[in-house]
Amino acid sequence: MLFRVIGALIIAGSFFPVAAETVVLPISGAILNPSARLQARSSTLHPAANPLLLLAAAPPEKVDTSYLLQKVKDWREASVSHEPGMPDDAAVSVGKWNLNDVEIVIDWITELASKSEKTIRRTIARAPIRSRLGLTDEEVQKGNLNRVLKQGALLHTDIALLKLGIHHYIDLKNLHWAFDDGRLSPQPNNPHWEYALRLINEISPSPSKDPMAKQWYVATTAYMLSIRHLAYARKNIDSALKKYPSDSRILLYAGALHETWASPVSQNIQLPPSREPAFESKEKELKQARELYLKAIEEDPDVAEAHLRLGRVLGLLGHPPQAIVELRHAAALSQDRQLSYYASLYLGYEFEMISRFKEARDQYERAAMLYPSAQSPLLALSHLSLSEDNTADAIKTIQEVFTLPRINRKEDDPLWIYDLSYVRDSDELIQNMRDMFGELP
Amino acid sequence: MMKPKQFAWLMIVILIGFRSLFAQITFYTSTGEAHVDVLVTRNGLPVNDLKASDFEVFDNGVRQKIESAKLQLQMPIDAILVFDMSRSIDGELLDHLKDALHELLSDFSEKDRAALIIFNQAVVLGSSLGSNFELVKSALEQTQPSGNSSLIDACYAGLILAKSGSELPLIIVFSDGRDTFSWLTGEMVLETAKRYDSVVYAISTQRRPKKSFLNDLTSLTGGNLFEVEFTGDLASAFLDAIREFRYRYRLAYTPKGVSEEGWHKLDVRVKSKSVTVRYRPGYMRSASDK
Repeated sequence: MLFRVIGALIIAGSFFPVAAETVVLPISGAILNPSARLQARSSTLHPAANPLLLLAAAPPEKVDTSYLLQKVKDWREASVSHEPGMPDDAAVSVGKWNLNDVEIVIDWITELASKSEKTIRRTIARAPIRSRLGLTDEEVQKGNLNRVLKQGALLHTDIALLKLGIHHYIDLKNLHWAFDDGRLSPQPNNPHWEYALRLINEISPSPSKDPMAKQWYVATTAYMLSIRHLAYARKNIDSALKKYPSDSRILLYAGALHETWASPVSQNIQLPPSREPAFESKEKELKQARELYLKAIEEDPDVAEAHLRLGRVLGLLGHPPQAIVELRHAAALSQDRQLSYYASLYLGYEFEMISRFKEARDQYERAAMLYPSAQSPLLALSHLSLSEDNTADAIKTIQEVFTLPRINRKEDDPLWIYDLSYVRDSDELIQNMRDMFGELP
Repeated sequence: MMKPKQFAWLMIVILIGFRSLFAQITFYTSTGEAHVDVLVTRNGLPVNDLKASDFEVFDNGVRQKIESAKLQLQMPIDAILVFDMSRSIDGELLDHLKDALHELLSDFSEKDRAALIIFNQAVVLGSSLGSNFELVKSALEQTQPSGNSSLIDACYAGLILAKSGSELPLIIVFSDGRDTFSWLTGEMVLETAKRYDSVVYAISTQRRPKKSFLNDLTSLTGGNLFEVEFTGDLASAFLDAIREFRYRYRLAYTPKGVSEEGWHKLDVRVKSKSVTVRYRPGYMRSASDK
């Protein structure tokens, strides 16, 4: 395996503070913004860095492995002593490691875990490695590295979540760009997400059969979506869909990701010449979202959020009657205030589109009652009045928009956080994942 | 004595006759007064010595009698300023925007009025329509840029505010970015703009694709979009916009020989060659506009 650090730039420290509304999108093409404060240095790899050499071409004892073995030992000790969710010494220490060293350990562990049980047994039977991995007799006998992989994955997940990693790098072939209110800037990659993902994917016999691995996928994807880091989320979702193709929650997340890519936030970005967004046109993204929501509903017909989003997407694709059915279904399934607000607002829109103005008004008024601080229902009502040839009422309703109390919170109008509504439980999911992983011996 | 059956037939014939008559009357009746803002330039400079008789207006292909053609230079303006105050308007750009507002308002007479709508994701009335321009300046001074952009919603609010009591409505939109958070769609607001005679000028610090909301809005209302490469040029762009607006003619006519409701395609000509004429492509009339 080649190291991804080759051809990469190492950036010391963080730059471009990311605002809460920033969306990080995957955009293809290798480009460096000349204004970016990048501090590059050539990558320096340790001579024992290639795990293939260690595991295949040459046995460990025939190369100088002392450095690697020490790193494996330190990493393993940190994984074991790390308290889930805590910025403890173990997490802080590994977060400060040179990324080349972390890569060496992750490559080594994942390469080892991907071998047959027999090979694993043979390798870990060697006293130096066995002692450094701290394996039990049973784990040695079974050639099972799952505990090592899971504890390591949690360590790197927490380093990423708690922002303890001090080194970030931008892979020139896989840039992350942040779109922030019309401005585009390169974002440092956080490699600890990638490390955790690689460790999780090596769980045997398969992560698709492991409830902890699934919980990791669900929780971390929800978190990534909740901070609008769509580039990370996509990586997780692409991988999760292969492992859990029938999981309604994963399908919902995947659909929502495509729905977000169809939204103005993504579609309206203006890229430098020769740059291409790594997503499709609005219509194509909406169609993909629709398919994924339909599958999610097929797997679990009682998920209100999936019906809501399917309804919205159907409306945007120009199918108001079908949209109305789904939106009504969503409203009937949930009493949640925020979800009811979306359902009413979008139902109003669909009724307006088919000139059923009375029903549209009822829905918009309901949305306005649910969130009196929201401007969207009032704008909708004003425009509806125009459609009904009532200019005086349209003017009056706009005056109401102007008198809304403004404390400039995103929550004033839930429309502004529609793209996050389905991951409102991300903190809870992360906590559940930590609890689950924390029970490992 | 007429039999009941004969009476019924007679009533039907009368009703059909009345209905046809009304239909005919509705089609050919005159609507309320219509206004068209027209900019006439020769070699890029405004032509300001034209009379009503120099213009020809065709409403849905039917030539109209122009009742007046007033140069707007002589008329008080109601300017609705719609300013983007999202997060990206910061530092030097914000300073230049404030300077530009000062320059713009210094060009206003005491008969002119101005209002300021500020938007990020929220649309806020910073200052209502009035002649106290200090209030407008102060509203901008007190605003801290933050959040994202609901450009389309804000333009809609501007159009509606302009409709609420303005004789000569001008809307000047400033934005550096693109819409990301609006509830209303671009199509909805463009349809609204067709119904009102506001002229929209826009000043943008970003080059926009030809098919963008601001491009469509300004051309649909007969206005203009100024794309500013250097933010230091903002003040001159604002002044260009207001001066161009003042040198427009406001033509008034009472549409005749055309249907009241629906889309009225406009064709405005000047009886002189070598001039360029700019105006809105048409206007929409509905039952409530009669």
